[in-house]
Amino acid sequence: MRIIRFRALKTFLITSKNLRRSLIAINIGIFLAIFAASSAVISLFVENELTDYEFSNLELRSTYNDFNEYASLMPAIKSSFDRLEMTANTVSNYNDILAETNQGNLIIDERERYFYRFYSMFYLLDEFFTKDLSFKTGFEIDVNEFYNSIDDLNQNLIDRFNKAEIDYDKYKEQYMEIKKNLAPYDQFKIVDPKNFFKDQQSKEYVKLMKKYETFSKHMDDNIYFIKDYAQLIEILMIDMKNFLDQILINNTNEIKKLSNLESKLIFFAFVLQLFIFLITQFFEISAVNREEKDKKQIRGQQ
Amino acid sequence: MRRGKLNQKAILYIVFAAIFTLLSYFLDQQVIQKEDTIRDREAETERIFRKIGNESGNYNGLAFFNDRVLHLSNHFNYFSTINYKILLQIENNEKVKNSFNPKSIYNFKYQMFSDFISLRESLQGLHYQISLMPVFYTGYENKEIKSKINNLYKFEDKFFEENKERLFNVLFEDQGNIYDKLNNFTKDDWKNIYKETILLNKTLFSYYNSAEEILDYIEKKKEKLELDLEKSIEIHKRQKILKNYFILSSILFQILGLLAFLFLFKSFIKGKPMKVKI
Repeated sequence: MRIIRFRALKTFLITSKNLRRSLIAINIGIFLAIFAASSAVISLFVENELTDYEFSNLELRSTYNDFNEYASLMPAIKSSFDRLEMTANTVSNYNDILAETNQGNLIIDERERYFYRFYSMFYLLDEFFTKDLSFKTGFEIDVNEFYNSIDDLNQNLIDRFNKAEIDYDKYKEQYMEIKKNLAPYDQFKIVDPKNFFKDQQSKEYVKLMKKYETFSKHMDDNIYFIKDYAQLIEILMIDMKNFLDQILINNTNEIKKLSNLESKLIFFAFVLQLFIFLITQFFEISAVNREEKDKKQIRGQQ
Repeated sequence: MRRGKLNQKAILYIVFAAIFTLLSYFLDQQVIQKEDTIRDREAETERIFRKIGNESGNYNGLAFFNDRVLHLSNHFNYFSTINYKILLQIENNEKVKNSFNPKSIYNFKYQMFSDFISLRESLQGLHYQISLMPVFYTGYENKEIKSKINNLYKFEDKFFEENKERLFNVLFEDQGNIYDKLNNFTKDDWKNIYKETILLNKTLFSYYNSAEEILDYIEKKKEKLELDLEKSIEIHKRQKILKNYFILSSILFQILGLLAFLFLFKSFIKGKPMKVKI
């Protein structure tokens, strides 16, 4: 079964009355088809570019959320350190008052002053030093490179970061060394009341508590450093977040630009093809007219 | 019956039109199939995003909760020995005893007593509060972690239960009677309260470590999900680009098919007359 009856179609198309009209209609069709094809090719490339930007935004959204989370965690961490310091200082004042009473030296010793103070700080700092939280290897951010790439370069801040990066390694090393030397004395060791005061005067106990005094002083320094370090992490995360925000905005602008470019390119392709079409049309119609004229002349001469 | 015979050029145009149309149909089908896989991928990406959000919420919630536990444990630790040391000195050393009046001695006793009670209540409260947190209901597939979450802040209340009538009911029955009651506690009672408070605090601190392990597990899970998300986005992106290719290639082939027909018609007009077989 034939769907298109080509012979009938041919007869219709080449009837002299329809010939010029058919030719124009077909040429317009060809012009529109080529235009549509070129639009499709333009769209294909632009759409793929757009997809790249859209997915880049999707990926950045996840990183952006991570930075946001970190930035919002830091104030809570700092307030936890403040709380720790306040409790430690309150207890320290309480101990000082008791120590100043008659026979106070029998009640307050290094254990009360440093042992518990040390443990309270030690575990709170653990996460900061057992995990790698250095900017370069932990967060995998080259602070110098990052701050040099953004517009508002603040040399003081970069210097602060560089110093903190060096100090972090120093404090971490110190912390790990203390952690290694902690055993075997346990913060929850129940002291037998019979030995309570005997133990307190033993050389070993005094030596051990002296060790805790040193450890506790290190922890005081560590807390002071970590509070500043947490502040720097917060600053870095906010700056990174703003930087990503800028990239996301730029990507969105690029998407808009590309969409506009696509419309402009398609319009330009249309104008160009229309121009070519008009020229070819002019020559083709002239040629057909001339051919028809020649045929008529030949027929007239015959 | 008369049949039109087409010239070679016309047949070629028809063949082209047919091939392009078939290709266009084929690509249309590919678009429909890709649409399904993209929808699935979108749902998968969204699911991972949501899961990361949930895990972040669980992590932050438990981390802050654990921070509170550490502060609580530190607080009880600070006062774990001092009050008992004072009581022992008061008992054994007349000079120390004379340094404090009866009211302040009562205060040291009351602090020891109330530290034990509030540590116990803190553990009960923490267990209740954790049972309301989303991390409790997340249903992790790791059985060890699941059991750790379910058992967080549970403790053996043996000492309290055994001495409830004799030592602790005073708190619930007659507040005004506490002063006399505490003064009637024996040396062994204070020794036991001292020991039990430290043991309870040790239990509380052990849960700090358990929660840290749970946090490590959640963090690893989150990292894995982030990698899955990265992969999912990459696959989604490739599928979407492929779909773009399919759609636009299908359009292109439709146009080319149409062009082939137009050129065929043009060849009818401009070409040599077709031979017609009669």
